[in-house]
Amino acid sequence: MKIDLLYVIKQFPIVLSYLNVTLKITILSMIFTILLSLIITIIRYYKVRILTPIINVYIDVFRGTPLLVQLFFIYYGFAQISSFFRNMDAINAAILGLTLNAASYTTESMRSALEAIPKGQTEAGLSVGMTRLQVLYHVVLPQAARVAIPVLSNDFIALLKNSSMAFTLGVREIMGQATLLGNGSFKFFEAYLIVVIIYFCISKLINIGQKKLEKYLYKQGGS
Amino acid sequence: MIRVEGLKKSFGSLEVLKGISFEINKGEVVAIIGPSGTGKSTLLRCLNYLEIPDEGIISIDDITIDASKIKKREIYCLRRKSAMIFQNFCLFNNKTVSENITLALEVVQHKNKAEVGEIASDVLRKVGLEDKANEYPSKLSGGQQQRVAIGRAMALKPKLMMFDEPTSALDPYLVGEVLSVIKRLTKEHSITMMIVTHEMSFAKDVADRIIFMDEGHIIESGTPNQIFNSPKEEKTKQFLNHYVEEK
Repeated sequence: MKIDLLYVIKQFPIVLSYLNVTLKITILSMIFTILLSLIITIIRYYKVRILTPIINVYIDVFRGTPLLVQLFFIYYGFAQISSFFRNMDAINAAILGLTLNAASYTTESMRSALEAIPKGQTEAGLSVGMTRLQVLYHVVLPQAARVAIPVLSNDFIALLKNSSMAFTLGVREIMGQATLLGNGSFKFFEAYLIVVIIYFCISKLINIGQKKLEKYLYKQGGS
Repeated sequence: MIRVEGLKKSFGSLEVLKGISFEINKGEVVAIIGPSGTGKSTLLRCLNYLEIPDEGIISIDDITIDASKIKKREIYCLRRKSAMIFQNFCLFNNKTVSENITLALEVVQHKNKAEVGEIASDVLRKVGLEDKANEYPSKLSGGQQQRVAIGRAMALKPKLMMFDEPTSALDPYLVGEVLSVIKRLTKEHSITMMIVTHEMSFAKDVADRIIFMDEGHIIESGTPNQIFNSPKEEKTKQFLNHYVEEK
């Protein structure tokens, strides 16, 4: 069997036109993930009563089950017991699932970054009269951010790749579109090659962004 | 001015401070000496609540707290009376030298930018680091970092300055510059100071009073002359003898 490169070139723009859906899922999930995991991380950092054990259960569950199962459980499972989920769009369910999943990983990355900052930094902050939150905001978080960026950008690349799962909920993004093309033409190799190229390029872009950001933060402060 | 009564602190089953009591007058410079692991640093850390004492009364300036029933607000009030210089400097790594000095002034004391900038350059002049204002701590030597830390503490205008072995993390040839900054400080200002140190000649030189601690107790306290030349307690004699031999 020979490879139909012309098909790849012709269909590329069609698949690419669904990139906005992939990006929408990825970027929104990313934003929600940052917010959610930041809150979770700070709650765990201070060992807030009641909330911390609940969060630990959540993390255990979401790290201990496959993403695909989580997405199906949210979109098809919960739909049977709650009208809120029944009326939810597939794309929103995907964003919700991806966020909950990714946050259970990124909170660990953030925690290890926070713990990498020497205790003396906090003590020095307290000793000059700052409150714990002020120390966190002015001293610890900016330093932790620098440590966290390489790990977090890995988490975000994983999130981008996982966004392809949205297609299993019937969202037509680049993976969904490529599958449709393949089904229609039986040119699966060509159709999926397009998706491989697109995902790879975006991952690379995130990677470059990470390097730039690291360099910028390095210039912003010392070590 | 400073009064501590019956201060106790345990780490698990290990009792580090076994009921410490003392008073320090305004402007007095007190050096605390003694073998390692006898609670000297813990004592300082309890005074600004970096360690939480189990019981005892701490009174600095017009604030008096009782460790057994302290409120969060009181902790912050107590801390604002004092400043601490740490063994390993603990400058804020993400801030420049001058930001290290100004951060607490802005955030805690709510001073405005212009005022704060003046204080910073004044303080940096005093510790001899005007030219380093915009450097980050990682670019400085240990001695320079510690001088910035001293500057950071001075800028707060605390009632009490506490030095927790300020030179023990430094190369021998950097010790001098830090000690001379502290020495100058003891002469220029009338800030009350507590200095935990293993530099005996320095303690002798700058302190108005020496406190000798061993195994969680204050064994003896007196003028440098008293302690170094005619110690009353056997333990003090032993410690000082040992020290002379080591040197």
